[in-house]
Amino acid sequence: MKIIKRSGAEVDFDISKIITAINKANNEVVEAERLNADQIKEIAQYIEQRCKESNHALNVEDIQDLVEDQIMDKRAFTVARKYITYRYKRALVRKSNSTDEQILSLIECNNEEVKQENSNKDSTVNSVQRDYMAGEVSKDITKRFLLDADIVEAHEQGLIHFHDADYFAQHMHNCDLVNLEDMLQNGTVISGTRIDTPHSFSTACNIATQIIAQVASSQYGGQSISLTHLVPFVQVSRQKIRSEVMATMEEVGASPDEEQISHIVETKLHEEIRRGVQVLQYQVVTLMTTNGQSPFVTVFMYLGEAKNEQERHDLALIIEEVLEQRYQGVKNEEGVWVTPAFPKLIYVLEEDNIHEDSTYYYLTKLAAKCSAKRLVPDYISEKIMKELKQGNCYTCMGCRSFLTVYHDEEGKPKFYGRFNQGVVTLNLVDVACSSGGDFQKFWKIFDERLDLCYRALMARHNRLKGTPSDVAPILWQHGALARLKKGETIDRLLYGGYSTISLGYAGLCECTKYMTGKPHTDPSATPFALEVMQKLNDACKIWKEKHNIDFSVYGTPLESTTYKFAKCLQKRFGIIEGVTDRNYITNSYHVHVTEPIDAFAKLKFEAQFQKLSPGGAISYVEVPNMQDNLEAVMSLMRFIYENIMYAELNTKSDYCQVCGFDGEIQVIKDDDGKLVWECPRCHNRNQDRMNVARRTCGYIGSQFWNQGRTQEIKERVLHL
Amino acid sequence: MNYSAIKYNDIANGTGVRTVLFVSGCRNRCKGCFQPETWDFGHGDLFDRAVEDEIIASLRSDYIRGLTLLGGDPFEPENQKALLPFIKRVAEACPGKDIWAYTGYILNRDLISGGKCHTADTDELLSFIDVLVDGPFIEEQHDITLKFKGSANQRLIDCKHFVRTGEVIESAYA
Repeated sequence: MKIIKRSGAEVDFDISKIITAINKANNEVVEAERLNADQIKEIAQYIEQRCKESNHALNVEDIQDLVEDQIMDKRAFTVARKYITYRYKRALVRKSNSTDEQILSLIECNNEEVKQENSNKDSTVNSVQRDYMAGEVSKDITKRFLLDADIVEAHEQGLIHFHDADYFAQHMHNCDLVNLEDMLQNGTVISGTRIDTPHSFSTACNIATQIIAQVASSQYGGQSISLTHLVPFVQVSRQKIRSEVMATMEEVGASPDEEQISHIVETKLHEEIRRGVQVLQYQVVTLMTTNGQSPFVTVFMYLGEAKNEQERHDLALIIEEVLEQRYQGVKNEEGVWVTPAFPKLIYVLEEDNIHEDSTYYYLTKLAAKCSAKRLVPDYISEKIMKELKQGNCYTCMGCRSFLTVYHDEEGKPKFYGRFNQGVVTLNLVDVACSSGGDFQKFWKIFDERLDLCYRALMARHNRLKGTPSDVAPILWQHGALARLKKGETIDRLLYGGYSTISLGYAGLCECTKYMTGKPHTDPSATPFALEVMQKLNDACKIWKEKHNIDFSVYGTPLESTTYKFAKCLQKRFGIIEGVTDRNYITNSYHVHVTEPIDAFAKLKFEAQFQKLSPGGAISYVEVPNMQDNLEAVMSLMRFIYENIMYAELNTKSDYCQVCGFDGEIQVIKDDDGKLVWECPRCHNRNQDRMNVARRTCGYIGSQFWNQGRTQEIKERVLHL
Repeated sequence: MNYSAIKYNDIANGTGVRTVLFVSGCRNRCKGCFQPETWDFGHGDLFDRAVEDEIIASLRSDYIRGLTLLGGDPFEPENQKALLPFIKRVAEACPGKDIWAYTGYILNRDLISGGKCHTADTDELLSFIDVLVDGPFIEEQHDITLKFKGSANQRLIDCKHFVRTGEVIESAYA
């Protein structure tokens, strides 16, 4: 005979459990009012009988009710009262401990929510599970103690998204630009060990990866480093190699001429650069940080940062090697060369490399070849960025968060060593749907929601206020971001524009569709979309003036949150065609993935919105496999250079291990209506025998995706 | 002449980003043709001045490398007649843009003097073309990994060189 537990599982009926439960209540009352052992047995047997007679398995709550009735039937009212109180207390305990089930399910790999949260984390791995367990505790604390109830509710209903609640319990910031130059030139300390200035390029690369790992473990967001900071060590290595070569020659009594020596030195130097770059690539993809993933690191490649011609030449050498190695890829378990997700690469298009007669045009051609095969590098246009950023050109922090321009005490622009405090994202689609299409109401609700975001962002800021530098020595004491004293707080870095804090937004496309009946690409609807963006900026400006904190508008890369928002919207408003009818909403200002538009028109259109997203945003174009047409890639890059600050190409270069096909593996529907991946040449459908890499919401994934995301990938319209 | 379609911003039928004109009418009738509806000379719409203007306008963008003539077959005699004045316009209005053409006929057999598709227009038309992809589509030699062509028998020919010397050599883009 079975009964059903609260969890839904069936277990055998056990009469002794009922006797034990009644005994517990019984023993708490004075002897005169107690049931005797026979009476208790009678009750238990009665329950057993009722369970036997029932045509379905009774659940625990039903049985509890029966026990109560029977105790009262025996007129043992005091015992009954105790029993009921005890039952109620247990229910409370179960409710208050909300993290247990979450944690247990993630350990047993049954937590779908966690599994899909981040495509860079494998939630079956022990170390990742530890990170997730900490995350569950942090989320719980955040919801119960750290945030106002209305913010928690808005987050749960999908009106806003309070990002990274799984790290919010700790005093952690989001992302940054690592001041590698300071650390390498002036020394640093890693895990209590003093690290002096390196004496060769490959050692510098090695130290850089150690720094990357430490930094990644001290924050939850991405980081960027610049290759320029490694450049001085090329010259260090060159001189070192030269003196070694000279010594060897002297030893054997040879007297080569200068040209011969130079040749030997440069050959050996190239080998040194190759080794250093390889360390960087392989260490980064193989490292596992305490956040349970490879460090989210971006490598910035910008010739314009070189201090002189020698440095520019050496920087070009490193960039060339980075691109060559990325083009080759990394080997997977089977020994097949595949596309690594990290480090992300950003290549700056500039006068020196964009025209056919530019000195470094060959590097841009190599970058194009690399993007066509490995999805990176992404591209920054120096020309457009200087227009938008007061004559400056700099990298984003990891993914796409851009700093504002800031000048140090000497009045010089400063970017490395700065950071972002965190993000809260406004769901624009919900604002639209909540207004019912009434514009007056829309702006009223918009302001109310902005106020929620503002308070949530201030909660983020206040969580960082008073943080002692000791929480992350590598960041705050040893140069990655600052060189504060032990025990000193990070407070002064939170104000005056040194760091930024981000007001994210999502679903401008669906929001505009709901309000105007047209997508934001329609000339009659574009002004409304631009107005929304402008108002976000206006709000940030007011907050900034009030608190001396750099609030900035940010095109959030929603990953699992795009599903959360879509689900919440459907629950709140039902299915509205073109607005809530997908299981995702469109990121930031992007054109809807299903809307036909060519690459050039898309980049041109989106550029006006990117301008209004100063805290960061990236535009992408979806293209087929372009390895056979690099000329077309170059056309795109020239267009990016002239028109948009930051863009990337979603190319398709998959690999079928069965037939060796190198091109686009396609999503098709199988006989059961399930979406599967199939090689167009040999029709192989075994996912273990193919390599597919796609960018989803800005991140490169290669672990295959759930059906919802696979559907979105299938629905993507090509822009070329 | 009728045309079946114009594809703007195409990257599959020639190097760079291109405008592709699919003319109507083809007598080759290759087995496994990817668009047999274009065999009919009456398929699609009339290729008039307005359509020409539209194509020429598209070629003016910096990022458009050139024009590709596809089909149908641009080298059916009646299509050659209609295309020659258009191509002359293109050459004049859009200097620096290159022209590719696809034909199911064989250049040095069918398009030379005495060949079955050689007309009074052929030599001049060929003189405007940079790359000619020739030969019928042979299903048995179909391979999706081939660059800018459908079956292995087809050739990417440096057409300028052919017009100059009469020699068939592979294009640098092959």
